[in-house]
Amino acid sequence: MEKVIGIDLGTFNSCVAVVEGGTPQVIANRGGYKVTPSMVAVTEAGKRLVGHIAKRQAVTNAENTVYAAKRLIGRKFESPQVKQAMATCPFRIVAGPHGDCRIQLRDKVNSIPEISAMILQEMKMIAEDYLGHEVSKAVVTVPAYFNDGQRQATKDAGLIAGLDVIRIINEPTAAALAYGFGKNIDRTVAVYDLGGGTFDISILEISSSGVFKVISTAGDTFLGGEDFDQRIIDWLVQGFQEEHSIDLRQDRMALQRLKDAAEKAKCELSAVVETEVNLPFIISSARNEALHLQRLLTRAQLEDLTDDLIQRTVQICEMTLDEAGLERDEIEDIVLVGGMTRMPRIQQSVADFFEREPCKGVHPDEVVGLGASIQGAALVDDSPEMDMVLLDVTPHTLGIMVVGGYFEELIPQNTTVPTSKSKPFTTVRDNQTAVKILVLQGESRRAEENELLGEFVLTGLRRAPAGEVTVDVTFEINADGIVSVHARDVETGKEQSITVTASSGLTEDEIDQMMVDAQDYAVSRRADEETEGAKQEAETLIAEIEKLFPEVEAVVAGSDFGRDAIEKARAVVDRARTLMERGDSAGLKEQIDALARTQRMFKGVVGKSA
Amino acid sequence: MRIPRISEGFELTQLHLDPFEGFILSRIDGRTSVDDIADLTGASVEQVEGALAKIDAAGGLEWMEEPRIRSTPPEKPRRAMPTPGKGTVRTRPAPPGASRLLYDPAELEEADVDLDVDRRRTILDAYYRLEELDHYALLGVERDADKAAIRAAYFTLSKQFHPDTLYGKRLGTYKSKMEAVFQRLTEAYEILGKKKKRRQYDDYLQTRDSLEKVRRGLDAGATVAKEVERTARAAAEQAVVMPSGAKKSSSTPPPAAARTPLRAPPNPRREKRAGEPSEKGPPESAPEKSSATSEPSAPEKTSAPEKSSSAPPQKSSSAPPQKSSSAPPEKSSSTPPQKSSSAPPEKSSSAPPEKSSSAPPQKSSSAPPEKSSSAPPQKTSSTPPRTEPLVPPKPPADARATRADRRPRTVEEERAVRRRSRDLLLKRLQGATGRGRASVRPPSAPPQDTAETKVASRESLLRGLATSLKGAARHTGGVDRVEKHLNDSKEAEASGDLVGAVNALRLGLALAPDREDLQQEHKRLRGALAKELSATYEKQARYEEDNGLWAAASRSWVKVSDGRPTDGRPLRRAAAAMLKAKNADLKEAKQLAQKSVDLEPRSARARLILAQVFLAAGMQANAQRELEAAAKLDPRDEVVKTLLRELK
Repeated sequence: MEKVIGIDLGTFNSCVAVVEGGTPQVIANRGGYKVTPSMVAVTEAGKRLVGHIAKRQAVTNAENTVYAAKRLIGRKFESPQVKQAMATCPFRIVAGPHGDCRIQLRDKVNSIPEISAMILQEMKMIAEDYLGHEVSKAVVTVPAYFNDGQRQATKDAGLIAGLDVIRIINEPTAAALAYGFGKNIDRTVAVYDLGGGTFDISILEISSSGVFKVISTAGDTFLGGEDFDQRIIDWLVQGFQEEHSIDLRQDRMALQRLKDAAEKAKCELSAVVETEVNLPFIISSARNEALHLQRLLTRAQLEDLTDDLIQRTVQICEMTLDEAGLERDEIEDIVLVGGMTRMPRIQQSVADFFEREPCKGVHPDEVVGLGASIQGAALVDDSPEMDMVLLDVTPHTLGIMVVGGYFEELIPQNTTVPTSKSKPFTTVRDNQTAVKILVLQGESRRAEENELLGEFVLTGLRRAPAGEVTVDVTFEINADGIVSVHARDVETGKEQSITVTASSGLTEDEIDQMMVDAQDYAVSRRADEETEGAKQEAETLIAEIEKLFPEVEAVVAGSDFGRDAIEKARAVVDRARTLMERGDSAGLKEQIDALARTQRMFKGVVGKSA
Repeated sequence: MRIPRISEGFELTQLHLDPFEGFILSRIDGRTSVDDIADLTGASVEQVEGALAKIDAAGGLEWMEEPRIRSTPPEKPRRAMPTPGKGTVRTRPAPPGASRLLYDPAELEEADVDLDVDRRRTILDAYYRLEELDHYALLGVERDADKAAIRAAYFTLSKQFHPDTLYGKRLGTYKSKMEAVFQRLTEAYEILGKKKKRRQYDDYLQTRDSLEKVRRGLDAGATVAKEVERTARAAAEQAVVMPSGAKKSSSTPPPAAARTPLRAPPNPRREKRAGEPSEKGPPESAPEKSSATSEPSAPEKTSAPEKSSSAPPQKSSSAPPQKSSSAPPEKSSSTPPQKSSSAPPEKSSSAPPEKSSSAPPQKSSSAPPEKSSSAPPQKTSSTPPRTEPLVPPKPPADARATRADRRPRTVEEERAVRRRSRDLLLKRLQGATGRGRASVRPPSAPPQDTAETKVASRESLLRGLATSLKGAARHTGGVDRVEKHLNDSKEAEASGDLVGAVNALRLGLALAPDREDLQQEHKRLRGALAKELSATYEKQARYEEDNGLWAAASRSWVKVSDGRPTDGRPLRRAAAAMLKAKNADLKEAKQLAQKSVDLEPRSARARLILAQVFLAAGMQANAQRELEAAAKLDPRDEVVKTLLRELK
């Protein structure tokens, strides 16, 4: 049975986990960290950097460092979200060929799924290094509120990264899986997930028989830790402006530093009650003197600055409870997920709302990845300890457009899948012989405000006065989340149907090409790593040899044979250096043998003489 | 309806058969029932059974059930309506203890599916019963189950039916079936799991049940009336005391009654119809007539009582264990409405001393002395107040089709039911002094007795009954009873119990079939009752349509049409609904559509529906005929035109 990894593809941090021997565990990256920043950068030399290394150079390479690409995935270039990102992000967002948005890094324009794929590929490699074999299947999490297009784009990202994403699951659901796994409990729980970029709340029933049923889920894709950071930045910028009449936001470098400082301050204030933001030399004044930013921020101030954000999450909790038809006291436990839930004020607000202390047993940064790996194992692993099933819901309402541009709902949000639903519709014009079915997703009454998933035409209706011809429209969502829609003329039995494949904004050809590129990258990166290893080994040997030269020369210089040997040794070392410079890793590897022999010989000479 | 099939690998040549038996053998194809074989070969059912017994004894036979829908009128027309795979419901031999199936066994053999047979069977069993089960039955919980029980049932079943539990396996068509079952489970859970929704649903069920009770009350009354009539006639005609002996006794009236429903199509509608001929009588048989062309009328059938009577018990023994989970809880509560009112008087007088445990409400007074002593063991009185007791025994195949009663009976139950109905009949005949309504006594204790001793007593009882009836029918006693029934009827009507009134009158009619005043009164009451009910049924039908319960909707529309016997529209809707049902009974749909056409020969719509039924059945020529007729009636109908075009 092939291992399926679970990946929490977060807005700011990602995490990979796998179930081994019935126990889910997070895999640390090479730096020993269990979470990896979801950042991608391209250096001046054209080298791709992912994760911590990308984050470290972000300040100096802001234009070519992408973060929070998840916020852009599946979005149209014209959408307000993209416009907003363009205003605040230091990297270049450009229009893509299909109305999508893309990101330019150095001289290459990348689609958003490609950027996400780079992160997924990194997570895949982390898992492969740990497991010691290739991995090709994954369960990837997305915010509960992602629509079909965003989910599809995430799947495409997996594909580009060489991963078959066997299931996309919602982050709070994954958290609940990790929370309930192996606990053998019957409980109704709420999962409050406030991450870097999104807020999600889900209510689930967990049964001791290993069934996890999502009752209701809701959220806000534009409410997260970054908004808290922004409040701090605004506060710092405003203070600075009052003091120096300089808008720091105009300076990208300063802005990046402000961001880092704000995030750091926010995190610190979870543990201490006050912290100092200290950014020396942040900008030069008009008179060219260096200005520093130095301010004290207290926890109470932060809570003041962000109170409305916290209240919004509480409101969403309330709505979700309503939706689920539950009273607060029917929630038997609360799981907190996401780094933001470390903030004491948030914990307090949640406890106040549910009148219950949240569960402390889960690690907010790792629980989602763990849950994803559990779902992966539950699907492919037949062993009894993985005998569990997740009953998920549709996050959005599905329906069609009806006369007047209205949206007519067929499958309401929070319907447990798989499901299907039929509704009869009639013609609206006399002698109408065809009807166009627009398949939409969203919660707005107006059709155009919802997302178009697909469309098709049912023709050959009989000529009749308006309203006399009935067409049955059936929506179906299967266990894999695939939506299909059929329309059927009730009287003639004529039928048309489509399987809705949401568009991620990429064509198949593009995805294929990107897959090839990503594979090339993986290969070259593996090669780079080997070269790097060889280089290090060679360098070590050369250093040792160099160190021995004087002694060896002293011992053998008297003989022709000795001089000859020394020359040969020099030649070996020189050649190795040349190969290193050329980056010829194959040649270098061969040369390492020669270096090693030389080193042994030198040591022998020195040892004998000693 | 039992269907014999030659066991796989059985060496026929080892048998010693005569040519006639060989001929019968040659007709066994795993699809044709004993009755049909008899019809095909021209042999009597006894002869066929004799031959089959021989093969059976050698272990060469397997018996299958034809559980629902397809149960056919015995004559050839059954082949005139070939049903395509979609609607076909056949069974394979049920291994001991396995379920009888509702689907083409070929489905079990679907290739390239990584599921074992048990799993396949579980899925198909659930899938093909979806429309029939109410939410409680679906989850396998009692009507009064608490939330925890409902939740536990839902989660357990979810794990069985959510396709994720079989992720990576090849599921073929099973996947969508599992999804459909899962969806229904979720619906059930989401309704029963929420107080308000559950209350609303319970209300709906209650309405449905009470309507069902009325229907059953009528059926029961009809059956009893028919028994009375037949017994009376038989008694009048043959002055001979019936011979004794187990075999013979089974040919006495009750089994004969059993025979009829056995033949009749299995769903409630049909079941009801089986009982109707006697009850409805000539005056209002318009719809009946039309069906008579394709379906032999019930009475003819009664001539060969034994064949049916011997079959059912065995059948029920193969009752699948898992079916029991579907036993609809409402059953136990569905006592026929009229029962309680009529019970008390008899009871008090009857309870024979030795039988104290079963406290039979028998009217010992009118029965011959020895009889009375033997009567008690009969269980009628002590059985639970189900409605079945009044319905003649029928094969589980029939029972399963009625929405409310899908749990196959065990042999014991089957016997008990049969016994009960016989006893009831007896009681009724003996107890002409009691209220004349067809009624079941309230339960005292569940039946415990085993067959043998009872058989003897029953026989003596029946013998005595026949004798007494002979006298009764011939002499004035019969007339007195008729008056009694008429009075009962009036009383019942006055008290608002229309069902009781109808049933009482039916009893009177059974004894005096020629009295016109009774006939008219009966007709009037039937009309009043039907009218009273049809509005409710219509509401129910629409609810069921809205909820995609097409099979149920079809049945409800049929009941609506009972109240509007001259209106073809309800039948049309019934046919249309049946067409939409998942395991549509096309034969039933055809009959409904045909009747609606008969009622409204000028309606293009009615013909269109009939044509659609034919199309669904793959009978292009018939469809075309109807469509052309429809086109003549309404030349502008585009649907008809379109369909005609497509046919050509």
